[in-house]
Amino acid sequence: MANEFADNQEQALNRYFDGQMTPEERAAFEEAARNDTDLARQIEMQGRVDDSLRSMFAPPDDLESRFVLPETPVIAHLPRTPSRMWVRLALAAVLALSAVGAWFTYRPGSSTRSPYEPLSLTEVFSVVEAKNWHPSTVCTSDEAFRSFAHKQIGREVLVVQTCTLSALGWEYGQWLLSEPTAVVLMRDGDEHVMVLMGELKGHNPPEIDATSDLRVYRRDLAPIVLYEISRLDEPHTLDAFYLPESE
Amino acid sequence: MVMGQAASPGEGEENASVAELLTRDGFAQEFSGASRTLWCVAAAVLRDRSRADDVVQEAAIVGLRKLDEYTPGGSFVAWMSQIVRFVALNEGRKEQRRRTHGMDPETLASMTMSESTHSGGGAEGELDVQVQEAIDELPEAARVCLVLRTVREMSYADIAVSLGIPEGTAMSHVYRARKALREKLQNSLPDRDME
Repeated sequence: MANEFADNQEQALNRYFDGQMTPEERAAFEEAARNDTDLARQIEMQGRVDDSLRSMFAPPDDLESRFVLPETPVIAHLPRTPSRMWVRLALAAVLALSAVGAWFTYRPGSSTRSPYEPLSLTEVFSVVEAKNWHPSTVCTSDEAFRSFAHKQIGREVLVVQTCTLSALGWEYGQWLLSEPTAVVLMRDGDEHVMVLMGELKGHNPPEIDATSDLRVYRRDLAPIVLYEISRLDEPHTLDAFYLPESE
Repeated sequence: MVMGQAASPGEGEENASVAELLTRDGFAQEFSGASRTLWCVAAAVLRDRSRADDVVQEAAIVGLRKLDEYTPGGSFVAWMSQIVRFVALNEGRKEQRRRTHGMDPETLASMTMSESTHSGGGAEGELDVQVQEAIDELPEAARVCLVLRTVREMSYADIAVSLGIPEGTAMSHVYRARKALREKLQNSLPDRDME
């Protein structure tokens, strides 16, 4: 049976369980549940789920006594000496110049290279690093990310972003995995990785130059496949990708 | 001065910024106040309460080592939550690698529930197992938000500060997680007589 909360039952349920309803609203909601078996079941189910959650994730009573903090001295944040600062700045300048040089050398359409010859994965990674992980296309919302993925590989893909993990945007590299391939630049804390996405079926696994120190990690998320490319010892972002329900 | 633990006068003269840093005692005080929230974050990321102690302990040591990276005036719990999350994710990855070698599903299930406070018997025990399975399928961020909201009864504003995410995102995670859990469990649990 329909009730006055039927139009926005989900929101009403959340307000109910968050204790955000006024006493009058709460009474009306509970009255509606008495006449609506579906709503009553939702309330019952959520209550049981919450009880289970509390049972499973409640911290132990003696939690505070379980931790031992070592007696370490306070780490003083002393200013760096000027000489070391200059060395670092000089090093940074050299690296920046090298990066710009690499970008002009390897960018698509460069005069030193045939425009029909695609960059290798290692080269694309170098370009991305040279650009300091600034993507060619930035996505500012989940919706934009989702639709860009669809445009690139014909599949809607989303990524769970947390306080430390985020998708920076997209890079060129449509040839890297299969036709087509999407290239996402990701950040996890201070670390950056590149993720290739393409059709699982019939794709060509990425090849890394023998001399490269890049690592490749794979996750099958049928019907797509994901490869995380980085210099890190383990994958950092592959678990965060998922296919939205409409897929 | 954020934590009220002044450096010695000599240190203060040498470098004023030292006085703004967290001392070991200041850290201990903040850590004590935040430990329950941090433990919940660890348990939610790992989906396993039995290893949350170890993760929070290790995160505390990491935090102590990185005291100079703490931004004075920032949220201690947000800073430590990041460390806890990193340590927990690393622990989860190590565990995943261990699990790929010679463990049967029954052993894994018993490990996941190994230190549950619930007796685990009867229909409610069965519900816990099903809830656990449904929780395992939630995205990590949603799981953490849901646990902090339901178990710690934190406001969305506090969850947002703790995890360094917008308040609306925290709320959205909880709403979606609740809905996903109900949908998942409605299909898998037998009907009960309603009062």
